[in-house]
Amino acid sequence: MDILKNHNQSTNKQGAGSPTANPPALFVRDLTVAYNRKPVLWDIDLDVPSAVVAGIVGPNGAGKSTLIKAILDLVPHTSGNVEIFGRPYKEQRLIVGYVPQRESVDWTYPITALELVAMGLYRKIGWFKPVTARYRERAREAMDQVGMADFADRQISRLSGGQQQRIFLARALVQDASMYFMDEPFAGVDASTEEAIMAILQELREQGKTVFVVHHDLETVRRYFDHLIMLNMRVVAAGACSEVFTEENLRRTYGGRLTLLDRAVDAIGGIKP
Amino acid sequence: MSLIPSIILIAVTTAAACAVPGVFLVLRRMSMVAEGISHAVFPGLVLALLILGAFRSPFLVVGPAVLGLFLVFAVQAMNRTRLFAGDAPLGVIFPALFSIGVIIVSRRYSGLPLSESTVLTGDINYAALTQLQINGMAVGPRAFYVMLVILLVNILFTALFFKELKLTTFDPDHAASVGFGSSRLYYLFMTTVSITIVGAFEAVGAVLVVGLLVAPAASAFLLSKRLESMLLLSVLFAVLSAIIGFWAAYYLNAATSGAMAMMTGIIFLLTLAFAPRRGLVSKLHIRARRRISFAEQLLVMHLIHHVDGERVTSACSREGVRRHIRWEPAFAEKVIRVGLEHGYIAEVEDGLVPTMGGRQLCSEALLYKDDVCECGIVRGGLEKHEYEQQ
Repeated sequence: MDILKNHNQSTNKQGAGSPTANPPALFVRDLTVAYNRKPVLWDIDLDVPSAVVAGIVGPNGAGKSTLIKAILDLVPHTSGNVEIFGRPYKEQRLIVGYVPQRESVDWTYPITALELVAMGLYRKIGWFKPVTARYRERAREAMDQVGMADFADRQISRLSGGQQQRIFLARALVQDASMYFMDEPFAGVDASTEEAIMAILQELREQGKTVFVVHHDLETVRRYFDHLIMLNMRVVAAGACSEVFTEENLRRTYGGRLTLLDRAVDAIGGIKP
Repeated sequence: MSLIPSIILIAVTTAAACAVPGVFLVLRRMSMVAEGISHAVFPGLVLALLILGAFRSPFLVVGPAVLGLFLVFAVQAMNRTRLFAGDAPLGVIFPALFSIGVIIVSRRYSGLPLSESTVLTGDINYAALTQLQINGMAVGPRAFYVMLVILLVNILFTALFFKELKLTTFDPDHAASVGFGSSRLYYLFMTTVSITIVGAFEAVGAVLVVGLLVAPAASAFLLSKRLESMLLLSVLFAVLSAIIGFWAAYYLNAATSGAMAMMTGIIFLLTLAFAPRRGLVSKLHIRARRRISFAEQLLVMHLIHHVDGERVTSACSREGVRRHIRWEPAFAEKVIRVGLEHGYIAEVEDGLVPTMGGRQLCSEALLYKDDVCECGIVRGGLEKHEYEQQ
């Protein structure tokens, strides 16, 4: 359990060495991803402590989704090494949950919200075995947790965008993982859903879980995250949010994209060049 | 077995066997891959016939099915080069494979019991003539038993992997992240599709088999909230198409396979038109209802404006409403009637006035909710009007 307590240290110190007694929750070394020899991610090094909500920010095309997918072995990486709590991802699959982008699936698919949530339990259920009442009950509890209990029997196409995002989250919650990767969970949801989701993520952190969130809205970075990864094909800065979320790092991450940068500088507030 | 029951048995089992994997083809948006497979297996079928001759063996089904899988692999390999966007690789590969079969069959003296036309549409009557002999007894058409086995295999496969198929079809990334690597299951599924297509080839041919795979599943999709019901409906539609199609062909003296495929198309058009919620009629109905309810809101808003602001009696009369909002007289009457029925407006001697219900309706449509409703509470709608009268 003391693994879970050593958070809030800055992990900016690179090259802290291989995982030893207290391995970081997420340890990435020299991760490079290329499509047809065109690099998308360059030599990523990350050490993220456990029990944090970590934001992943960067301009479009910076490789934020690819980073998550590479960590989860969903896209092949050219080089590199990923460890979750000190062990290779392949051995840790059961304790890692993934919430893909909402647009990545076809919402006209003929299943009910409850069936979608129950998909998070398939790994536990195993091959060939059916989803029994016990598992459906577990899925129902998770739906209740995200405030969607009344929609269990609704076909997923008849849910609003925010509701769809909530049941995606519920599907991750039933996995009861120790680490979560969420790809833009706030895309296209209303303010109240965003608050509700954020409250759940904070609750996960209280339970000692580590949550990674691909995020776009720089104005809320400070409020939402205690750890931040600033990405633009390589890691521009990573560490405690309060330390790395600076104008200098934003400029290096977003480059010449001025409108964005202006908003970002507004978001930081107070820091004058 | 006599001819008519033989044909019906073949038609029903063929349609049902296609309807099961068709569901997942439609959900994966791979209908055109089915088209590709149905053409790609043809040279395999021809070669198998040449080599094995009239000798009927399971290889006649499994051998050609390998070509179907080859197509799936080849298309994926070409897609991976990223040289082409969309389905160009499919369009290049399957005609090339198909043409090999056409060349062999079209040579004179090829000695094959196939012509170019049966290749496309099959010949179910001919298939019904080949009876399976067991101990010298004819026990029914061979094609029926072939399709029955394929149907059972498809049902067994779907039942066994139901949960896994459901997940990998819906969200392959999530499936992979929880350890249900989808590629092995995918190729297994494509194998069953290939075998089904080869089996159905004799009865319905390369083109019409696509109709049997796709149309019943597409119709079922429009009606289904769950995967289970989509599978059941798909099989039901396929069997209906087979039976109705057979009798239609019988009375028209036309090709059975053509009539069957036609029926799947007709059933699809009917569901497309009349499916609740997703169907065209229901969509039109919803749109018409929205039009009325929007017009209602507009009318109430107009009345609020004139009751609260400058009170122009002429603007609030039935005639005035029509002129101000520029509605057709009939439509205006309809909107006013519905508004009165819903209690959003009321009629007093000098025209129409909004009620509190009407004000609430409008406040829901406004960004700044309090405005209209507050006015209503402070200054009253109908209530205010009544107050003035007292």
